Amino acid sequence: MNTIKKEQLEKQAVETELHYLKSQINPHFLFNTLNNIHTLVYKQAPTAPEAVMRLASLMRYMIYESNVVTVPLSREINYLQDYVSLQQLRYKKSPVVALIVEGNIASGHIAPLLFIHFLENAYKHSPARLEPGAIKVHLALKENTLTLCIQNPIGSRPGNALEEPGGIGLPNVQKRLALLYPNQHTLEISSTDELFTVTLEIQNLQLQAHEREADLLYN
Amino acid sequence: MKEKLTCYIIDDEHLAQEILEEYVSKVPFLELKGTFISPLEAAAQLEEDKPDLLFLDINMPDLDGLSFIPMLNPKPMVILTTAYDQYALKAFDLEVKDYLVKPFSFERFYKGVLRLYQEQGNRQQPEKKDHVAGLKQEPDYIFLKVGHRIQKITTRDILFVEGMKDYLRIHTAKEKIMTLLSFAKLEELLPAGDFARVHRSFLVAIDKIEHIEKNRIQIANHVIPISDSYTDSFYKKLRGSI
Repeated sequence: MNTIKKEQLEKQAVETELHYLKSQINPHFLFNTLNNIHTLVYKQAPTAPEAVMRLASLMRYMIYESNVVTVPLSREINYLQDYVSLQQLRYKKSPVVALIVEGNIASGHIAPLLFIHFLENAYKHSPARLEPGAIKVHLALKENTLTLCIQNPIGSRPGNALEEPGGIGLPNVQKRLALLYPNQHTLEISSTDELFTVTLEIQNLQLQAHEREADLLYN
Repeated sequence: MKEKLTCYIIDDEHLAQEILEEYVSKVPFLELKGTFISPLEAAAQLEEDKPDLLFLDINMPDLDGLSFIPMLNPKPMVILTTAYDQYALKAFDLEVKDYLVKPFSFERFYKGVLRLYQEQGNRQQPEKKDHVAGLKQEPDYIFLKVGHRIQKITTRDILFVEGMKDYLRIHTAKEKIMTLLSFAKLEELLPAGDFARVHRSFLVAIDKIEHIEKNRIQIANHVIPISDSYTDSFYKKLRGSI
């Protein structure tokens, strides 16, 4: 009985920590997006309604849909697409992000809001002006192994850049991964003079219910 | 009041630039000279153009707006534009003219620039008055009563003026004009820097002097004496015009 209670308390502590870790989204991005949408609306740009819908979708996911243990991988990818689309408002040139998705994405489930921080970082540390396709995002699901690779050019930033409020650092993501996918993930971060690369691999990714059953049946 | 305030925009986001450009274009007393995406790119141009006003974003990748303000020389008036309100205190220290929190309406924008424009106008009015007074002192002609008519005399035609009791005889290259006037009254009408009193009875046009020898001035076949009491002031004026 004592052991069960202890386990429950531990579980609760972990859940609280996880919730805390994922809840911090960079408000700079939200304000920036609102400013840009304000301009689009003021100018009565035909792209204004879509931008508002993207923002609504993004916020709905963050606020309501992510309060679960796992979400369909496709929904998480959809969220990343919303984010990329809203970030794109900042750039005049055609898409600065090349997003490639491979494999049977529909079958995967993942802990929500896990990838966004890598993507946020890629924008944050890139140069002010980005060429089309300068940020490369490659997401693949093959044989229950999910691979996410994000690569961005490195911009020159002064040492005393203003601190951006909110946002969640890399150590927090690492902590969250350790709690969610202990001993079944690898995270590699490397940088050269020009490029910054993050490669995350999660093995034995949870599949959709019927596929899990099928797995059990055949193994 | 100054016709227009010249201004620049520095913001790293193109939509933020566009809305500012549109706001500026709606205000008749603002003239946009250019838009930059970073302070580093703008620096040289600002130094050269010396705009009156700068719309400056704070959060920019290369160099933030607050760090840029102290580097500005000459320093234009600065209106900060930012999505955050937390830098307002620092902005106050840097003596910025306004702090616009994005997104801001045209009305809010206009309120800020109008106040600046009015302040600017008040500061420049005394200068303008001086300018007008200066013009009044330097017409290129005067009207003088000659006999029963009023004669127009182009001031640059005057060689020298000779005093004849209550009358003045004005010598030009073509003619001599007698007018009932005192030297004091005439000197009020003439551009002060161009003429010099050299004697109780003589006033000369400085640019018509051919040469000066001892205490005599040669102007177009006339020799005009310089009296002791006017020597100092005359030479002082001469030095000023050399």
